[in-house]
This record gives sequence, C-alpha cells and structure tokens, in this order.
Amino acid sequence: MTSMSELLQHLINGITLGAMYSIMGVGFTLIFGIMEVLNFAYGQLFMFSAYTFLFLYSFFGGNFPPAAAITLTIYFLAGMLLEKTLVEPIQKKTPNWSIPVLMSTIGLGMVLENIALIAWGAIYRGIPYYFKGVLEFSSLRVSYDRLFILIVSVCTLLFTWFVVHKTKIGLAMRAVSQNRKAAALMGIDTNKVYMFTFGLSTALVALAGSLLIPILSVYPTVGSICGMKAFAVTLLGGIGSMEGAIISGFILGIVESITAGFISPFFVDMAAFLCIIIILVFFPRGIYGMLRRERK
Amino acid sequence: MINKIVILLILLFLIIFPFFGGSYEIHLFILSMIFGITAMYWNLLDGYIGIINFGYAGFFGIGAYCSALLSMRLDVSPFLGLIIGGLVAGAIGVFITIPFLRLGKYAMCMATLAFSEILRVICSGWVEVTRGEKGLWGIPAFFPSSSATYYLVFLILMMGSYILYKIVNSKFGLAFMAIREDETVAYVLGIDINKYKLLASFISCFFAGIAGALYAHYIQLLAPAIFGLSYTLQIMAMSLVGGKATVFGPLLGSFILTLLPEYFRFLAEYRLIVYGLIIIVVVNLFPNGIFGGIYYIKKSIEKFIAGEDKKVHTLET
Repeated sequence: MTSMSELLQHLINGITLGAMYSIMGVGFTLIFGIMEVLNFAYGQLFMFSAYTFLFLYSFFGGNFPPAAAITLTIYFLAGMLLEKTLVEPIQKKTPNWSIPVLMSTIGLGMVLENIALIAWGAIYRGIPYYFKGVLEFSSLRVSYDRLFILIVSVCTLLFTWFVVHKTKIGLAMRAVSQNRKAAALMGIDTNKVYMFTFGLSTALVALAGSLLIPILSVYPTVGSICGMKAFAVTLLGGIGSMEGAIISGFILGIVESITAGFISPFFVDMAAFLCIIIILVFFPRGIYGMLRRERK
Repeated sequence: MINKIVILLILLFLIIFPFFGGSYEIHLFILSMIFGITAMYWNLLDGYIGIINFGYAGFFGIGAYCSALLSMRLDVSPFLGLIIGGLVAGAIGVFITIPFLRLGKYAMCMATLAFSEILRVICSGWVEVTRGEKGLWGIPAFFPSSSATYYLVFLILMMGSYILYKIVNSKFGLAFMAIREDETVAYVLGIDINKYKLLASFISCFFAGIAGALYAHYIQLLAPAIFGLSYTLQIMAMSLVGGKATVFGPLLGSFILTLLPEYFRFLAEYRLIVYGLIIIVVVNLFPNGIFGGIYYIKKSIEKFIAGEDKKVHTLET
C-alpha cells in the first residue's frame, strides 16, 4: 500500500513538472512549426526570465501577479525585438534559414549565459514558496505551490490554444505554418506574424521561468538542460504540433519523476532521453504521428 | 590558379609555424587543427548529406575515451589507439544511425542529441572504468615535445582534408548532395539513400573518433563533459561560421573561433560574451559562413569587372 501511495505521489510531482515542460514545449513548437526556427537560446531565456522575475518579486514585496505580469510583458516585447534583430536579417538573405538562425540563437544563448554569470554569479537562487502549506489526502501530500503551478499552467495552455485556434492572428499563424507563400499572397504580413509568434513563445518561457522558482532554484547554467528538454518535448510531440507537445511534456515529466523516485535521481536525464529515442524509433513523427495513426 | 597559390602559401605557413611560433601559439594551433578536423567532418554530414548530428561530441568523446582507456589500462600504443578509437566511433556511428534512418531531419537531431547525453551519463556513472566525474588524467602522450605532436596533427589534418576533398568531388559527393537537396528525387534517380547515409555517418564518425583520440592524448585529461552539448555546439559554430558545404570553411572557422577569443583576453570575463556576439554578427552578415561571404564578394567583383547585368548567385545550400 505504501508503494502505491508513493507511486501516486511521484505521479503528482511528475504532472506538475510535466505541466512546465508542456508550456516550454508549446512555446518551442510554436516558433518551430510556424517559422521553422529552432530557438537554442530558449533555456537561457528561461533562466534570464527567472532572474527578472526574482528581482521583480522582491521589488513588489512578494506579490506574484504584478511581478509575473511585468515579466511576461517584458519578455513578450523582448521576443519581438529578438525576432526583428536576429531572425529577420537572415530570413531576408537566404531561403534556408533554419540552420543559420539556429546558430545565431546559440550565440545569443552564450551571451545571455555569460551576462548572467557576471551579473548574478554562480550561486543558486530561489524563493521557498508562494503559498505556505500542504494539502493532504490520507497519505498524499501536495503543496499549495504545486497546485498553483498546475492550475496556472493549464490556464496558460488553454489560453495559448485559444489564441492559436480562435483568434484572427492565430488563423494567420496557422496559415503561415501551412504555406508561407500562399499566406503572403492572401495579404498576411508574414513578418508581423513571425514577430508575434516569437514574442508569444518568449512570453511562454518567461511564464515557465517565473512559475518554476519554488521547485527549481535558478543558476546561470540551468538554461542549457532546460533548453534541451524543451527541444526534446517538441520533437517528441511531433513537428509543430501543440497537442503533441502538451502530451509529451506530461510524459517526460512523469517518466522523470518516477525514475527519480524509484531508481535514482542520477538516471533522470538518461531515462528521459532513452524514452525519447524509443518513441522516436517506433514513431518517427512523434506523439502526433502516433495519434494520427490510431485515428486512421 | 589563385586558389592554388593561396592554399600553398597557407600550407607553407602551417609547416614552418613551429619554428617561430611560441609554445602557447603552437598549443592553440594544435587545438584549432584538432577541432578543424571535427568541424570539417561534421560539415560532411550537415553540409553535404543533410543529416544534422547534434550528438557529434559523443563520437568525439567515444574516440577520446576509447583510445585513452586502451593506452592506460592495456598499454596499447597511442598510435594504434588512434585508429581503434576512430573505428569504434565509426562503427557506433553506423550502429546508431540504422534505427534513425526513418527519422526526419529534426527528429534525427533530437535522437543523436539524446544518444550523446546518454553516453555522458553512462560515462559519469561507470566509475570503475572511467573514474566518473573525476575524469581520466595522466593519459600517455604521443610525443614528449609539442612540436612533434603538431606535425602529427598536421599530417592527420592533411590526410583528412584530402580524403574529404576527394569524397566531395567524386560520385559519392554528388550522391550526397542529391540526397541533401531532395531525398525523393535522389531515390527516383536510383541512389540508395540508406547506404549513402550510413557511409557518410561512418566516415564522419570515424574522423570524429580520430580527432577525439588526438585530443585525449594531447591534452592528457578527459572528463565526461566532453560528451556534452556544449562541445557539439562549439563544433557546429566553427563549421557554420567558416562556411557550410565547403571543404576548408570549417577549418577556417575553427582557427577563427579558437584564436579570436585569445585576442580578447583583455576583456577578461566579458570574453565569452564577445565570442557569442561574433557568432551572431557573422551569421547575420553571411548566413552561409565566411566562405559563403567570400564567394559572394568574389562574384560581385567579377560582375563589376565584367559590367554585366547578371544576377549574382549566392551560394545557396
């Protein structure tokens, strides 16, 4: 019986972690699906936004909503600016921009990581909790923080889904992702769509950065592993598929927390990556391909 | 003609360099050449056949650890270890590519990245053999003097670039490029895509393993971090800054990205920021790397001299 409740406990922890991975994966998959850009500065943006949030959180005296709102706005604008300065010049010069843009985001990641090292030093920072207290069902214990993170992430995922599927700009985004040239001919300003998409994706990662602080303390090099996870979630989900990214985010979170709980925290990354390889070998188009196949 | 003179001059410079270069410069040149070989053969995969290998540091690390462990535990000569390291890396490269052949371009990136991360975890966990995170130290060197090592690395670099040049300008190279441009068309033309992909993976990983073994016996220190993503990114940066789908571009990139940070030593801790900025600026100006940029400028000058109203063709890969 105890092992059963232990399993449930790990499942709950995995689901919270998975919610965060989903948010990051959706952000990553948006720019990948729509712009064919892999943003390898993603993890570093995550780290940077966590520091920004920490600063604002202490500035507002431990008040979550204004700090998070300002962080999101800053990173939405920063994302648009980055698209304008890093992606657009390359898109104008070459039709096959994915790899050059990937390289330029890697450069950006290096810059951000080293700025963080100089500005904040290589120490762990974090805040203990947003809300004190633990919710208890018989032997299960869920802290209010984890519940809060879960609720906010689910709302964010719903909101993103709404933006992409029910608004005008979302329609433009989907049109561009299907056929760039045809969309441009239909009068869609592709550059504007790209800027909005990049901004939205950066805002999503900023949200992940500000939410995750009580669970994961932040240090300058946390970005590289987080960026890798976002990339993994995207590819595991299937190229440019939001539903796939959400599901694979939860899968990865659950696999990781169960490995950490039952085997050893040392093997967490290994289990996650093994799981990715196995799924990709059998379903080359990721979870999205898996779902499509079942429907047929 | 001009190209040949330039290449000869560069070769001559590299040959006589150890006679006047300081020991630190020689060290930097050896490192540039080792990473140059790796970047060149990463480029064989990305630039010519269109496989993006994100786990390339894994193969570099396999060669390094293989050769280092053989020479430390079994007293195998480092020269033999070099070849064994290369062969093991090549074999694992083929073995790991077989299940990934069906994958798309980006899924392949993820799978190779996952592979190298798994290797890193294995390497840091298998303490009895690899000493784990403490790393291997006291790996036997090829030669006691660094200029002798310089010439060994130089020789292997020459061999590597000659072989790469021959491959690229042969029927194989054409097949590779056909696969890169359009797999379906290549298949219709009767090119056995899987065979060529495996062949390219073997050659590429073989040289990555050799470069890794050179690195291990030269630096004489190894840690599991060598399998990490940051090394792959470094190799990619060299390859792409130098020039995608060119034979010597990655070598140029490797020299630039190894030597340039040294000139920014006065910036102390801001050095790596500058390094990142260089990558951003170069890629923004020349999306096809410096070689692509040179090619573009050359074409523009030719057009200017000829006074023709032709469109300048950039190197679009």
